[in-house]
Amino acid sequence: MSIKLEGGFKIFWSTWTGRVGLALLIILTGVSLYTVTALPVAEISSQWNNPQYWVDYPKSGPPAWVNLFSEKKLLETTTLIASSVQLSGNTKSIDLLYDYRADTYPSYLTLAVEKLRYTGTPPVLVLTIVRPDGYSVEAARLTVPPPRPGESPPILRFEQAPERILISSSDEFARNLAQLYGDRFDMLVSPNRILQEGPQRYLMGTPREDSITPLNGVYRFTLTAIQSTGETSIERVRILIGGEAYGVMGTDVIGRDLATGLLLGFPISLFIGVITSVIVTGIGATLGLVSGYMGGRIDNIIQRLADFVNNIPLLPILIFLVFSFGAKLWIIIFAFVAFGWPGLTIVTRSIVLQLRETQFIESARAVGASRLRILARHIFPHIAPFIIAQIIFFTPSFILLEAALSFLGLGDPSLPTWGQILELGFRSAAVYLGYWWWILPPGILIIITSLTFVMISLGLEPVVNPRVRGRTRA
Amino acid sequence: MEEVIRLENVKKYYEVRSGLLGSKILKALDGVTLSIRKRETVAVVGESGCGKSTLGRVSLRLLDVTAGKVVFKDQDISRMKEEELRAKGFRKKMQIIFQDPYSSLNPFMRIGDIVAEPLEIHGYRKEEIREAVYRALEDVKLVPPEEFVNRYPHELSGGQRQRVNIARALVLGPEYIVADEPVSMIDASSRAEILLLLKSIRDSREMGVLYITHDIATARYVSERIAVMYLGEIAETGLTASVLKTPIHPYTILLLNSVPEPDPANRRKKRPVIRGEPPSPLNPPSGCKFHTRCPVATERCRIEKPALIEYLPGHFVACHRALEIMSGAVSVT
Amino acid sequence: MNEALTVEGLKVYYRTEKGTVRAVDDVSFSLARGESLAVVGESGSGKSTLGLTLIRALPANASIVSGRVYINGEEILSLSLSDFRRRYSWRVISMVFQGAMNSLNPVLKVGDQIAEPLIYNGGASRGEAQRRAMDMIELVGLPREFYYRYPHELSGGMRQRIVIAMSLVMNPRILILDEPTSALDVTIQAQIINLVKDLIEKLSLSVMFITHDLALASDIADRIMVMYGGQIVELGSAERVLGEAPKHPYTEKLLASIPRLRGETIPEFIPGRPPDLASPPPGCRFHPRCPYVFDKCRSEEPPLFKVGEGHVARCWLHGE
Repeated sequence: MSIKLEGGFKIFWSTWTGRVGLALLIILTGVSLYTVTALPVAEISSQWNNPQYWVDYPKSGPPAWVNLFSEKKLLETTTLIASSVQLSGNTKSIDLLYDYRADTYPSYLTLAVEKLRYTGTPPVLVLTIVRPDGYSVEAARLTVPPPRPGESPPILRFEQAPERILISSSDEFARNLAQLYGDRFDMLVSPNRILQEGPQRYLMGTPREDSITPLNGVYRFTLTAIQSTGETSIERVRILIGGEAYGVMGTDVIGRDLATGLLLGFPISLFIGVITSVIVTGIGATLGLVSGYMGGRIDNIIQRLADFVNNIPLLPILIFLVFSFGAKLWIIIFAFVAFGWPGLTIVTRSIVLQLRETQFIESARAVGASRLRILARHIFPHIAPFIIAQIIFFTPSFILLEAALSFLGLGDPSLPTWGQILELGFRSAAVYLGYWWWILPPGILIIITSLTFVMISLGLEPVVNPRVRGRTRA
Repeated sequence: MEEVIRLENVKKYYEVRSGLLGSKILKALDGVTLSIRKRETVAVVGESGCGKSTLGRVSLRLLDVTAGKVVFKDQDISRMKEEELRAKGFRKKMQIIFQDPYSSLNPFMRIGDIVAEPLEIHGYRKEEIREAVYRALEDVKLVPPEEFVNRYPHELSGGQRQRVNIARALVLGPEYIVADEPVSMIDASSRAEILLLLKSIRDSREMGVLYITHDIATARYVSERIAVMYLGEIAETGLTASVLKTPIHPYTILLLNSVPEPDPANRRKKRPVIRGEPPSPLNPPSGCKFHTRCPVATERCRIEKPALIEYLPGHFVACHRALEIMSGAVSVT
Repeated sequence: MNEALTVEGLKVYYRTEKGTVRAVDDVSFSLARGESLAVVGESGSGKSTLGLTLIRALPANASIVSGRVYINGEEILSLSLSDFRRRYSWRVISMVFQGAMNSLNPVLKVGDQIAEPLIYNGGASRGEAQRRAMDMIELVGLPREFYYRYPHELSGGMRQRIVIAMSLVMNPRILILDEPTSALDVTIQAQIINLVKDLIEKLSLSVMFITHDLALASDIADRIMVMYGGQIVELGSAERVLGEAPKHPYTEKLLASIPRLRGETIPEFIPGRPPDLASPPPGCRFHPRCPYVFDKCRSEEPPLFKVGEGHVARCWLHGE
C-alpha cells in the first residue's frame, strides 16, 4: 500500500491543480488553526449577535486601508487606553494623546471607566481636552457614587460593566463648546446646534470662512480625579474616538468587526465541509460495500432505500427541519448526511460488484477466507483511494450548500459563517449602498475554499482513475 | 490408485432473464461424470462457453451444484455450506490456479503476504507461516525467496506472477488442484516452464490436477487423460495418448485439425475448419448437441442424444457414428 | 518501384514514470506490394508500437525520436496529422486493432459503424455508403442483413469479421492486423485466418500481420520479422526462418517452445524474462537468456548480419 500511496502522491504533485490546491489547503488550515488558538472564539461567537458588544465600533465602516487609495482620508477608529491608573498624592491626573490626521470628523466620542477603587471621599472624575491650538474644554464629569452603608474602603465601583459616557451626545459638553467658540472665536453657536451637528465636529474643528474645517494635530485628553481625601485607582480607562473606517475588513451594520467574523468562518466552513463529507462518505461507502458484497435481500433493501432518499428534494426537507427544530448547525449537518449518502452508495456498490468478479477475490474464497476478511483485506484497499477522493470531492459541495442555506436565511444564526455574513449584507442592502467590503470578501472566501477542494480533486483524478493518466504501451 | 475427486452426473443450471418477464435455463453443465486420481492430471479441453471453467469451480464447490454429486475422497461435499467446507478443512485440501496472472493477485499485497494469506486464514503460527512461505516460493523456483517476499505483483513478469499463484495454491498442502488455463496469458516462451513446474510439483506432492485449457496441444504434455467438452457435456474422454492418436468424435477430430503448426507451407492452403459457431447454450440443439456443425450428422443425431460409450479401453465417445468413423467407413475431414 | 511501405531507422520512445522506454529502437524494413509480412514478438517487443506508428496513432506520451516511413514513395511522418488522416488513413493504410472487436460502439448498428468513414472521410452519400458497407459485410462472409445488427447480437467471430470489414471499407492497399485472433477459440481463429487469406488474394493487399504466435504467422506470412526488446532480431522468408534452421537463438527457442500435437519433441522454454526497455542490458539484448552466449555478446551490440538470400539475423554467431 505504501508504494502505491507514494506513487499516487507523485502523480498528484505532477498536476498544477494538485499543487495549487494543496497550497491553498495548507493556507486555509493554517488560518483556521490560528483562529481557533489565537482568538477567543467562544466569547466572540457568544457575543456575535449582541449589539451591545459591538457598540463601540463604527457602523458599516470600510476597512482602514482604503485611506491608502483615496483622496479623502477617512478617520480610523482609535481607542486610547490607560491601564492600572493610579490617581493619588500629587498626580491626580493622567494624559492621553491623540494625533488627529484626517479630513473627516470622528463619528462619536466615548469615555469608559472600568473597575474604579477609592479610599477617602468619593472622587469626581473630570475629562478635559486640550486642542492643538492650546484651547481647552471640559468634556465630561463623572461623580463616583459614595459608599453604601456597611461598605468599607477601598470602595469598588463600575465592576460589573464599565461606566460609559457618550461624550458626543452630552449637553454639558455642547454647552462648554458653545462657550469656547463664543469666547475664543467670536462665533455664536447654540448648544443645540452643536448637539445636532455633533460636538466632536466642533471639538476637532476650527472656524474658517464661516464654516468649520478639521483641525489636525495632537489632542491631549486629561483625566483628573477631584478628591479631598484618599486615593483613587482605575484598572482601565478607554477613550474611544469613533471613526468611519475600521480594521482590516471593515464592519457591518451593527458594527461587528468583519475581520473577526471572516476569520471565524474559516474553521467553521472547513468543519462543516470536512465533517459532513467524512460522515456522508463513511455511511455511503459502508452501505455500498455491504450492499455490493452481501447481495441478495440486504442489497435490495439498501438500493431501494437509496433510490427513495435520492429522489426526495433536500430543500423542502431542510426548511421543514429548520422550522421544527430551529436553525441549528447539527440539524443542518444531520440533514446533509441523511440525504447525501445514496449517490456514493450506488457508485461504491457498482465498484464492489466489479471487484467481486475479479480472480483475486475468487482466489481468496478458494483458500477459505471469510466474508469479513475479503471485505477488509481485499475489497476495501481497492476502494480506499476512491473514498478519500470522494471525501475531498464532497467537501466543497457541503461548504457551498451551507452557504446557500445561510443565504436563504436557514443557517444557524449563532455562528458567524461566510454565508450568514453575506446574507445579512444582502438583507441590509449592502450592494445598493456600495458596502463592497461586506459582500466581496465572504463571497471570495467561499469561492476560494470550494476551489481548493475542487483543485485537489482534479489533482487526485489521475491517481484514482488511471484511465486519465498517460497510457503506456510497448 | 487412490481417487481424489469424483464428479457424478453433475449439473449446473443458471436461470437467465430473457425479455421482460420470461426466464430461461442455461445448462452450463449437463450431466458430467469425471474422476481424478492421485498423481494424475486430467485435461478438460473445449471452446469458450463449453462449461469447462464451470466444471472446475463446481468441483471445488466455489459454485453450488444443481444436481449430481461432488465427492472428495469419499466424502460428498456437493451440499455443504461455505462455513462447513472451511471448518472441515476442505478449503485447505482443494485449490485453484487462475488464468489471469494479472488480476488474480491483489495488487496491494506483497508477494509474501499473498502466499501467507491461506495459512493465516487457517490459523497457523507466525514461524510456521514464514517457513511454509519460503518453502513454497522455493518450490516454484522464485529463488531466493527473501528477494521476492517484499515485492509487489506489478514488479514481476507474467510467468513469475503465475508462479506466485501456484505457490499460494500449494502452501496449504492441497491434494487436488484446478489449473484454469494457467498459461494462456503468459508469453509463449515461458509456458513450457510453468507447465513442467506444475507437473513436477504434482508428482512430488502426489496431487490430483484438473487442467482446464482451450489449447489441446499443451494438454498433451501435462495430462494422463483428456476430456473434450462441448456445450456442457463430455463428447470424448480417454487416455491422452489414445484420444490424440485415434480421435473418434468428429468434434475432437476437427478440433485437432484446426490447431496450427509453424510450417511455411501453411500459407498455400486453407486451414481445415469447423463450420459455424457453437450454438447458444440457452438454446442448445436437440439430440447430439454437435449435430448442427457436424459434417457426418444423420437424422438420428438430430433426434437421439448419444450415450458416452467405451469404444477402446478407457476411451469413451458420445457419438452415434463412432464405429463407422473408427472403421474408416465415414471420413470426417 | 515495388515497395508499398519502407521504414528507415525508426525509433519510438515512451516517457513513463520509470524513465524513457525504448519501445522501437532503430527498426528498418520494407514491405513489397502484395506481400505479407508477419511481425512476431512477445509482449514488450515493440511490435504493437510499430503498427501504431505506421498509422500515426501513437499515444500522447510516445514520441518518434528518429526515422522515416515511406508509403508509395512519400514520407508520411513529416506530414501534418490532418494531412495524413485526409490522404492516408483508411484509404491507403488501415489497421485492425488488437481487441477492436470488443470496442465496437454498443449503441450503433454495425453497418453504420462500417459506413461512417465513407460519409465523414470519403464524402459518400448515405445510400452509397450503406450499399458499400453491405458489400463489405458480404465480402467478410456475413449476410447483408447484418448491417442492421447491434454488436451484442453478434458472436466474437462475427464481430471480428465486422472489424475487418471496417478496416477495408475505403479500399486501402496496406492492411495492418494486430493480433486479430488472440481472443478467439481455435476453431473460430481458423475461420478468420482463412478469411484473411481470401481477402489478401482477392484484394491483392500488402499485409503486416502482428502476432506473438509463430504458428499463426506461418499461416499468412511470406516473410517473417522477429522482434525482441524493440529491435529486429531476424528477418527472412518464411521458408528460411521456419523451414531451415532459424539463425537467431531467440527465434530458435521460440519455435522450440511451441507445444506440438504431432512428433516427439517436448516443448522447451526460455528462462528469464524479456528486457526492461527503460534500461536494456548492454551488448546483445537477448544475451541474459541466450544458451549460446559468449563474451562479445555481453559488451557489444550485434548488427544485423546477412545470413542468406534476403535473410538477416542480429547475432554474433554469424559475425566475426
